[in-house]
Amino acid sequence: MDENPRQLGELLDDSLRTAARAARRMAYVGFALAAFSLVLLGKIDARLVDSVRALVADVSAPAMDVLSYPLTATHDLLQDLQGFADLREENRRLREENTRLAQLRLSAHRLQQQNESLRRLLRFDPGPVVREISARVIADTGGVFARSVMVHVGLDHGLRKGLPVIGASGLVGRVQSLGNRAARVLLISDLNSKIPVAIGDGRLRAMMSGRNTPYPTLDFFTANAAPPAGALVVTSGDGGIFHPGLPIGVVMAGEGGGWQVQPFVDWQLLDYVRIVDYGVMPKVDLALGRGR
Amino acid sequence: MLYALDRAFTVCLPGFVTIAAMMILAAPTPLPRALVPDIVMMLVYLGAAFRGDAFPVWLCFAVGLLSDLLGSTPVGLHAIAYLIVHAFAAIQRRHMHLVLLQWSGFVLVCLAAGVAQWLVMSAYFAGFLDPKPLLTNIVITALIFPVLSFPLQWLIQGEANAQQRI
Repeated sequence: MDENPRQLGELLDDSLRTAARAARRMAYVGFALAAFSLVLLGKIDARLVDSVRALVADVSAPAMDVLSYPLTATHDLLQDLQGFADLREENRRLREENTRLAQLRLSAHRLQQQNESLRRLLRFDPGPVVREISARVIADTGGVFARSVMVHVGLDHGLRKGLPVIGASGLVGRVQSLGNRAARVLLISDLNSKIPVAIGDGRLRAMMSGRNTPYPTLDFFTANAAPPAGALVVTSGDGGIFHPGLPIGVVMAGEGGGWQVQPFVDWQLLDYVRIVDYGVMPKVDLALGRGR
Repeated sequence: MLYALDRAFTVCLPGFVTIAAMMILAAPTPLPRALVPDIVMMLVYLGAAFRGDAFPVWLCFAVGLLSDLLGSTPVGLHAIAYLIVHAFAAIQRRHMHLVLLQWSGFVLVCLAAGVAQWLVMSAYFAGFLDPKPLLTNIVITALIFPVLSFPLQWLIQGEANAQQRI
C-alpha cells in the first residue's frame, strides 16, 4: 500500500528533474539564438547599436573614470621609478634637445613673421577657427577583435561624430559613437578603420586599413609605383572624413610583402588625446543624416 | 532582516564581481589587449560551476552583452562565447572539485569559445581574421587560470564564506 505513493513521488521527482533539464537546455538555445540575432542586427543597423553603446558609455563613464585612476597611477609610478634609473642620461638628452629647440624657436618665429606678412599681402582668408578639446582616456574598450578607447568628453563638450582624434604626435583615430559625457574613439588600427591617405609629396594616394595590429596596411594605390620606405603618411582629405595633412606615420615594408604604416602614436602611452574640430561637418555624417 | 540582506548579498555577489572585473579590466594599460587574461571568462566558468544558483544563464547572457556594449565588438559576440563556457561548466559541475580536471576543462572550453568567436567575427567581416592575437590571449588566459582560480572562487562563494564566519 505504502509503495505506490512513494513510487508516484519518485516518478513525479523524475519528471520534474527532466522538465527542469529540458528548460535549461531550451534557455541555452534561446539565448544563443538571441545572441546570433543581435550580431546580425548590429550588422544591419549599426546606428541602433551605436546609440545603445553611447547610452552605456554615458552610464559607465563615471565608474570607468574612477576605476582607471589606480591603474594609471600605478603605471605612472612604475614609469617614474624606471626614469630614476637613467636620470643622468635623460638630463643630458633633454639639455641637447633644449638647445636644438631654442634654435628651432628662432627660425619658427622668423617664419611666422614672414607668413603673417605674406598673408597680409595676399589678403588670405584663414578659414574657420580650429577648436581643440583635450580628453583623458578612461578605458581601453578594445580587445582581441577590436581597437577602441573611451574618452570622458561627449556631446556636452561640443563633440561630433567623425571628428579626428590626435595623440601627442599623430592621428589616433576618429570619434565613433557619442554620449553626452563620453565618447568612443575608433583607433586607426581597428578592422573597421579605413582612411584615405597621401604618401610622401602627396602625389601617391592610398587607402590605409586597420588590421587589429599596431601597424595598419596600405592598399589601393593610385599609381603603380611602390611607396618609398620611410615616406611620411598623412590624411589626404579625400571623402571629406578627415582634414587633409594630419600626420599619421611613416611607410614601412610589411611582413607579407605589402606596405604598412608605422604610426607616430605610441599605443602604450595613450593617456591623453586631442579631438580637433576644423569646423567642417564630415561628409560621413551628412550621408547618414544625423549628427550623432 | 540581516539574514535576508546577507542572502541577497551572496546571491548578487558573482554577478557584481564579474561586472566589476569587466570594468576594472577596461582601464587603460600599457599592455596589448591580447596579453590581458580574460578574467571575465574565468568568472563565468567558476560562477557556473560553483555558484549555479547565483549565476544563471540569463546573467551570463547579460554579462556577454554588457561586455560587447562596453567594448567595440559586435553585440552578441561575447554572449555566444560566455554561453558556451557556462553550458560546459554547468554540465561538468560534479567534476570541478578536481583541480586538474577543472583546469583542463577550462582550457578546452576557452578554445571552443575562441573558435566560435573567431568564426562569428570572420563571417561578420566576410574574411578570415588573423587568429594569432586570439590564440595568444587563450594561451595567456589558460596559463593564468590555475593562479587565479582559487582567489576568484573565494571571491564568488559568498555564502560558503559567510557560513565559515558563523
